Amino acid sequence: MLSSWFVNPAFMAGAALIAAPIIIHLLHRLNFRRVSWAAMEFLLDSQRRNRRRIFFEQFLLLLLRCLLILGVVVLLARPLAGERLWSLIAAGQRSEHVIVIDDSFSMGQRLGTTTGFGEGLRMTRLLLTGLADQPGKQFVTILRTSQRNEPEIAGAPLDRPLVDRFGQLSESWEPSDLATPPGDGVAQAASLLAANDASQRSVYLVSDYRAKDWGEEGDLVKSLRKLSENQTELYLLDVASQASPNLTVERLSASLGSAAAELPFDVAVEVHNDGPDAVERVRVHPRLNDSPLPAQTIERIESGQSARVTFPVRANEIGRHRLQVSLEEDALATDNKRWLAFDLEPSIPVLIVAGDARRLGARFLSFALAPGGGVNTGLVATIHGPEFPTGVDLAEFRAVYLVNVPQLDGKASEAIVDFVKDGGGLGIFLGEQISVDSYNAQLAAEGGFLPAALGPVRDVSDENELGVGLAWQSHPVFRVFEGERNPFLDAVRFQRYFTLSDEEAARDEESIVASTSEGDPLVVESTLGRGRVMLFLSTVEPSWNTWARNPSFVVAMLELQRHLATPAIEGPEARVGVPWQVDLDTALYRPAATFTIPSRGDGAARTLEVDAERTGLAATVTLDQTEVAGIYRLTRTRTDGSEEIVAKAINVDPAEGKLAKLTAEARRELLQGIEHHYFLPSDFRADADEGAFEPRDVILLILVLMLFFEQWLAYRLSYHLK
Amino acid sequence: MTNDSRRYLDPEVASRVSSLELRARQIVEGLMSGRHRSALKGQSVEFAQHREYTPGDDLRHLDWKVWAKQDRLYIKEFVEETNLRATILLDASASMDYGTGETHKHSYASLLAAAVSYLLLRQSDSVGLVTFDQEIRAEVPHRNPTTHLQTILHALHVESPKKKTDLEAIMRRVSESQSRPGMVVLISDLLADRESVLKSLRMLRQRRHDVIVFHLLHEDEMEFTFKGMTRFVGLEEAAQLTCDPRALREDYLESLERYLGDLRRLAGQTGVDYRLTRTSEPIDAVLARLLHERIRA
Repeated sequence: MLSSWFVNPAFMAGAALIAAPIIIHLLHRLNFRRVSWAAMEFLLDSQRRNRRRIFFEQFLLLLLRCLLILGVVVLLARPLAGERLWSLIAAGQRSEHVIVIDDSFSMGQRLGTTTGFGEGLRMTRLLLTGLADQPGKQFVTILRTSQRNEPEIAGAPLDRPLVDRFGQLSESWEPSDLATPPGDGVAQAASLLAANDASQRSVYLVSDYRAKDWGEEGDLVKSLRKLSENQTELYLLDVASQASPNLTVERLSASLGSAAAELPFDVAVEVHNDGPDAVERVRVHPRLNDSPLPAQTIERIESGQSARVTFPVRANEIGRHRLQVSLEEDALATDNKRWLAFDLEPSIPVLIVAGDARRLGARFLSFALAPGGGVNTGLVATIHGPEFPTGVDLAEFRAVYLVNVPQLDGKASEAIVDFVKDGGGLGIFLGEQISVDSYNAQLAAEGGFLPAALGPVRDVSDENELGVGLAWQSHPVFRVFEGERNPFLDAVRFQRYFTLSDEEAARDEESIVASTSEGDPLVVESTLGRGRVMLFLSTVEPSWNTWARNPSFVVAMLELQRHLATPAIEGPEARVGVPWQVDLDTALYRPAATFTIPSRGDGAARTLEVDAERTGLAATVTLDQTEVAGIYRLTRTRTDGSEEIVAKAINVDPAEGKLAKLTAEARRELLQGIEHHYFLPSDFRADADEGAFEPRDVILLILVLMLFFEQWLAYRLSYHLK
Repeated sequence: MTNDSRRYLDPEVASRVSSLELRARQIVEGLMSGRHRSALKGQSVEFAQHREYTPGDDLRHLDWKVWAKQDRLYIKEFVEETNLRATILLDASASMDYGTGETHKHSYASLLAAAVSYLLLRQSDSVGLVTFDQEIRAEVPHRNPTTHLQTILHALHVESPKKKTDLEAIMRRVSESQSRPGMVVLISDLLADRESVLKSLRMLRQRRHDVIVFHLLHEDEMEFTFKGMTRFVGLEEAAQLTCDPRALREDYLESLERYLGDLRRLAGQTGVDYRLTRTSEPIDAVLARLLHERIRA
C-alpha cells in the first residue's frame, strides 16, 4: 500500500522516531532539581496565569519537533504527489484503465527530434506515473491498435514497477506499417471493459487525431459514445502532430502482360501530394533487385492531387524479380516506399484461334506479333483451328485472339469468359465465316463476351472503290500514331466491315475506339471482369481492308497485344495486416509451406513454417503476420520434393499518409454529447518526464521553514534574559 | 551557676555570638568613624525598680547588695529618659531559611539586627528585640547599657527556622506591649499574607511608631534566574510546583514587583521607612544609606 505513496516505503518505518521528542520531553520533566522556596505565592500566581500559554507553547514546540522528524523521514521515503482530494476519497476503490495507443504509421510523423508515436509513449508514461501515484487499487491494460487483441499489459496492478516495465517494453516499440483505425482499438477497449466490474473505468486514446480516422460519425465515435453511456471516463490524448507536406507513393504497377525476360516493360509510379502546396520535380528512385535504376522525375504534383511517371524497365534474367520505388525523405517515411514482385518468363505466349481452314488471317496476325528472324517481340503465338481448342488451359496465355471464328459452343464461350474475367485479353477479328446470328445470340447476349451485337456487313466499295479511311480515338492502341508525322494509318482503307446492330446504335461512344471516316464503328472495346475485349469489325488479312499491308499494322497489333495483356482492372493490392492465403493443390504440393517475412529497416528476414488447413483435396496455407511492408516469399514443396517459390509484395495503405488533422470544431461536433477530456502534450509536464512529481523541494522548503520556526520558538521559550 | 548560665556558655553559641558581635562592631565602628552627631538618639539616668537578671544584662547594673543578701541576681532598672526606645523585630520564620553563606536570609537578618542594636546601644538608646515566626520565639526587653548587646546577640541565635509567619498577630502584640511610641525596626522577607503585612505596618504607624522595615530578599527571589526543570517546594507552605522556571520568570517578577509596589505605596502613604534589601548587599552599605538618609531627613 505504501508503495503507492512512496518511492522508498521502507524508510517510513523511521516514522516511529517521532516518539523521540515526546520521550525526551517526558524524561526532561522527570529530571528536575529540587529547590526549597519561600516566595511560592508569586510562583504559583505566575503558574496560574501562564498555565495555558506554557502548555500551548510546549505542545507547539513538541509538535514541531515531531513534524521535523516526520518530515525528514518522509523526505527519505520520497513521497509521490499529485494526489487529489477525489483520489483520496476514492482510495480503496478499484479503477480499471485501458490505454489504447495508436501505432498506425501516420504516428511516425516526425515532430522535431521525436515522432508522434514517441510523444504518445512519453504521454503514456507520464499518465501511468500519475495514475500509479493515486491511492486505491489501479489496474491497467495497454494495447496497441496494431495488436489490439494481444494487449502488451493486461489488467496489471498499476504501480511504479509497472511504469518501469512499460518504459522498458516501449523502448523497442515503433509505429507499425499498418493503418489500423483507432476505432478498432477503442472497440477492443470497450469489449475488455464490458465484463469489468470496476467502480471506475477509464479509456485513454493516444492518437494523432487525423481527419481520415474520424470523418463522419463512424465506428470510432459510436464506440466512444457507447463507452460514455456506460459511465466510462474518456480521455483523448492528442500527440499534437500537425498536417505537413507529405508525399505518398500511391501505386506501383507494371505492364507485366507484355513483360518477358530481356524485354522492356513499363513501370508506372503514382505519387500523391498531401501537402497544402504543389510540389515540383519530385524524384522517384527505383531499385530492381536491390540495384538502383535511373531516378525518375515528376515535374509537378498539385496539392491534393496525384501524378504518375512511367518508365521502362528491363530485366534480363528469367524468374523472380523485385522492384522497389522510394521518394526522398519527408515528414512521414513509411509511405515513401512501395514494392512490386513479379516473375519474368522467357516469352509471352498468345493463342490465336483461326476459324478458317487456311488460317490466312491468323498467319497475318501471328506474323505481326512474332515476326521471327532477328526481331524479338517476346511473343510466341500458338495457332489453333478451325475448332476452338477446348483442352487448352487459357490461363497459360496472356491474350487470346479469335480470327474469323464462325461460332463458339457454350463450353468454349465459358472458358473465354472466365479467362477474360481473370484479367486476360481477348481480341476478336471478323470475316466471311462469321455467323452473325450465332454471335449475337450467344456471344453478345448476357453472360457473353462480345462487346456489341453485330449488324449486317457493309460493303462500301460500290460507293468508293478505294474504301473508307480509319478515324481513331486517343487510345493506347493508336496513341503511338498520334501526331502529324505519322501518316501511315491515313493510307489504310476499309472496303467491307460489319456494322453494329440497331440496338447498339446508341451505345456509349467511349467504347468506340476507332471508326470509319464516315462514322461507322470499326473497333469496339469492352471490359469483362478484370480483362479487356477488343472487337475489330473487319478482317485481319487484307481481304476486306488494306491494313495488313500497311506498316502501321504491325505496330498497331503489338500495341493491341500490350493493351490486351494489361488487365483493365488491376488485382487487389496486397496490404499490410491482411493475411496472405495461398491454396495448395495437394495433388501437386505438400500441405505445408515456409513463409519468408521481411523485417523493418535493415534487419534480416525471418522464416515461418505453416501447416496447411485441409478441406478435402484442397489445402490452404495462411500467413497472418503481414504487418511489415515489403517482399514476402512462400516456399512450397512439390510432391516430388522440388521447391517452388512464390513472391508477393505487401504494401502500406497509402490513405494513411493523409495527414490532415481533425479540427477542434469537427471534434467538438463529432463528440457532441459524449463526455470526454482532451489533452495535448503541453498538458503533461516535462519536468515529470523522469517520473512522478516528487515534492522533495516543497517538503525540503517546508522543513527548513519549520526548522527556523522551531529554532525561533525554542529561543523564545528558552526565556533568555532580556 | 544556674542552668541558664550554662546554656549561655554553650561554646558554639558563644562563638557565634562573639563572632556576631565582632562583626557588628566592625560594621558600626567603621560606619561611625568620624561621625559626630547621632542619627538615633536616647539617654537614661533615674533608678526605677529591680528585675531578675537575664543573660546579656550589663553586670554593672547588678545589685550586688541584693545578691549579697538573697544570693539572687537582680538588675537595677532606671526610669528611661532616653529619647529613643527601639524595638527590633526579627523574622525567624521558615521563609527566612533561604540562601547560603552570608546571603542566607536569616543570617543576614541576624547580623543586620546585631549591627542596628550595636549602633543604637552605642549611642545609649534603649533596644529591645523580638524574634518571631507565627509566635514570638524570643524577646529581649528594652535596655540601653552596651552590655545589653550580648543579651540581644544571644536572642538572635535561632535554630533553623521552621514555622510560618504570622506578622499581624506579632505586630499587634508588640505594639500593645509598647507604652509609648518608639522606633520599630522590622527585619523580614515579608513573605506572609499580603494583607496582613500591610495591615500590620499600617497599625504600627497608627500608633505613631517610627517604623523602619528592612525587607530582605535573596538575589534568587529578586531575579529568579533558575534554569532547567525545577521542583519548588514551599518553605512555609505545603505547595510544590514543578516547572521550567524560565517560563514563569517574567510573570513571577511582575507579581513580585506588584507586591513591592504595594509596599512602597504604603510606605509613602504612612511614612514607613521601607528599605528593600538584597542579602547580597553589604550590611554596612545598608546601614550607611539608612544613617545618611536619616541625617538628611
